Amino acid sequence: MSGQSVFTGTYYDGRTARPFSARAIPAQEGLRILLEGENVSEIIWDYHKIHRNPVNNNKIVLKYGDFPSETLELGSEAFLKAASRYAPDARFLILPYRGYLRIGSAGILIGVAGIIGLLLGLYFFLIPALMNFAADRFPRSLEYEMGQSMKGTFISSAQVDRERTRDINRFFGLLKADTRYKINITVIKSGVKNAFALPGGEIVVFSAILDTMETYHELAALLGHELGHIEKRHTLKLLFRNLSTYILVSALLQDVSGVMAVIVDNAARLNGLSYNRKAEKESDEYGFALMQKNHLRLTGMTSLFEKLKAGDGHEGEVPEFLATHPSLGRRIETVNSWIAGQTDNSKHHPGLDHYWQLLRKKH
Amino acid sequence: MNINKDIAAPGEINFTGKGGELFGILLVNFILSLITLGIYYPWAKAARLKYLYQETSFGGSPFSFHGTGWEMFKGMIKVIGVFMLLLLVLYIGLIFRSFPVLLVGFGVYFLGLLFFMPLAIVSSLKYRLSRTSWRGIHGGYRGTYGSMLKIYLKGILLTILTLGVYGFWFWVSVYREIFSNIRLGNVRFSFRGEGDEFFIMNVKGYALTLLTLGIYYFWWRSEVYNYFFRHIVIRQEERQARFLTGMTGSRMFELLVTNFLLLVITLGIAFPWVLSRTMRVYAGNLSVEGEINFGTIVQTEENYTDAGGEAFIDGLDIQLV
Repeated sequence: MSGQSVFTGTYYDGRTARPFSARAIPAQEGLRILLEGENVSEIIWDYHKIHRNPVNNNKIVLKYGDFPSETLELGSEAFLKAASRYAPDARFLILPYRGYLRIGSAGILIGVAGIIGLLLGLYFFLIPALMNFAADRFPRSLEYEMGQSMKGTFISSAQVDRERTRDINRFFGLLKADTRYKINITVIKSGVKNAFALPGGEIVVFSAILDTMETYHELAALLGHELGHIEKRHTLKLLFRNLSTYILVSALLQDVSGVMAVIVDNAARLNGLSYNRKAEKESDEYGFALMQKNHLRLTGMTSLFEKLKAGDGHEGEVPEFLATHPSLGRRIETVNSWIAGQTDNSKHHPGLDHYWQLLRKKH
Repeated sequence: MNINKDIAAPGEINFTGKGGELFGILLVNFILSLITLGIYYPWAKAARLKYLYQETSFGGSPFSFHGTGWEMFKGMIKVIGVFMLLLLVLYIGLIFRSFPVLLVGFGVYFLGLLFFMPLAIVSSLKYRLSRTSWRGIHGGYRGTYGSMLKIYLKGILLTILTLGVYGFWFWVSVYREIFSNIRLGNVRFSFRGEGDEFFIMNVKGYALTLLTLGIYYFWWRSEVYNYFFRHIVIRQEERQARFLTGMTGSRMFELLVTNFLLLVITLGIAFPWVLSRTMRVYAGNLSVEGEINFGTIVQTEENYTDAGGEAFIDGLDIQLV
């Protein structure tokens, strides 16, 4: 029996919590457990029926048999090595979590980088793709109701210019536009040069932006652009995306979501900004196509942008907090490059001009 | 055979887990849950609970958690079925857009939740305790759904009628019911707290927290912690034991403020360290003292492997210890 190692520990028989001093001896025939006492008794455990609690900082805890199982607590890691001489493939020697339990600081750093990478990937690629998918399939009737309730909140605190609202809708009615939506435009009395589109077909135009315009081409450019936002469901996508951020955060972080949501919400706004620039370009393209189709003067679009750029810092088109100056400059360049490839086939539109004259007189 | 003498500090409760190790487990859980779109969740939970239980020891012997991911997965499927059914009723109400149908939908949904909540708690306790052992002795829960449901129906009704005031007595009655049915072998528990005391403590805590601009909050929390543990009575036949707690407001303050700062500064990544230090402080301030010789506990409880309630309390976001 030379070369056998003996390990001391505590044994519990599974019937009571009474501790027995035990000596564990890994041997060929199995794990021999000698229970101390007046008469030393011996138990033999089959290596392949031993289970081990995956982790414990202080002790190796072995379980044997079905409910209620016997338990052996040992204090020395050397036991595992000794046992592996007799049964290297025994289940209790291989721990699923062993590999990364002692990952160390480098492992933690890699893990942290991994989490951050995964979250960024999720946030910048997977979620936008999923949200676009969802937004594209969102029922139009619900989209309309959502737009109505948003409009309701907004309009209640603003003054509607009824005459101009009537005329601008007639103006729009004369434009040839491909749209799946029933468009309704509202003119609001306001000194801010702004206009925005809501989901489901609502466009809100602030009176100050009308006052800066000089031609009906510019108004058509503005409406075409806003129609682009509606057709491409930009607001809906933005809403979905901000919403998904909350869902993601609360799902992943559970208890700490309160603090995190605030942090991530701010990040969502910054990200929403870049999303909107892309959306602006899509809407510009849409508006540009609309102007071509209606034989309008394409430079109406750039002159509109120029006026907004020269304005008082409020840019229009998008809610102010999303608007930025550099993007307008870049948008003018982009539209100019589109114009460069076109021949001017614009015609005079007496109908549009008629309503434009009515619209511009009223102030 | 003689009883082992070298068992360190009988009665002490300790948590020996380490933030770094917990991080490893939670990281793998997180990644696998994400990749499997949440299907891994029960296995993740089993791994987390195994670690937390097995790093917690009483009288020098660690607890064991025997639950498996597969058991909890089966539980989760059942519960998803129940939730889907309840949500379906609600959606039918929304789709029809008629007020009576909507009312019935809401009614069935909330009544359903009301009736399932006690069921969830009872079956979760049955599972969780049966799958927990200490020195090979398994825990158990002997309470029935019927008695918990009665407490719930009475509690919720009175809480609504008293505009929430009865909530404190309700909480105490739920804990009385729970503890009187917990077993660890032939060791029994009971909860001797009174609703009046709990109510006054919370009113006082709330008022002083407001008056001190939040500072008293930590003392309030430590009072609730002490109240909870000091009223638990442990019995084995004629012998009794109780928890001693050493929690103070300043310890609670140090714990919670540091936790908060750690979480905010690391954007939540320090969560495993926060969890392990919370466990360490909570366990470290607890010990058991009394006449019971814990070496004489006898195995009494049956095996119980239905984890349905486990998933339900997750679904309802109820926190069990």
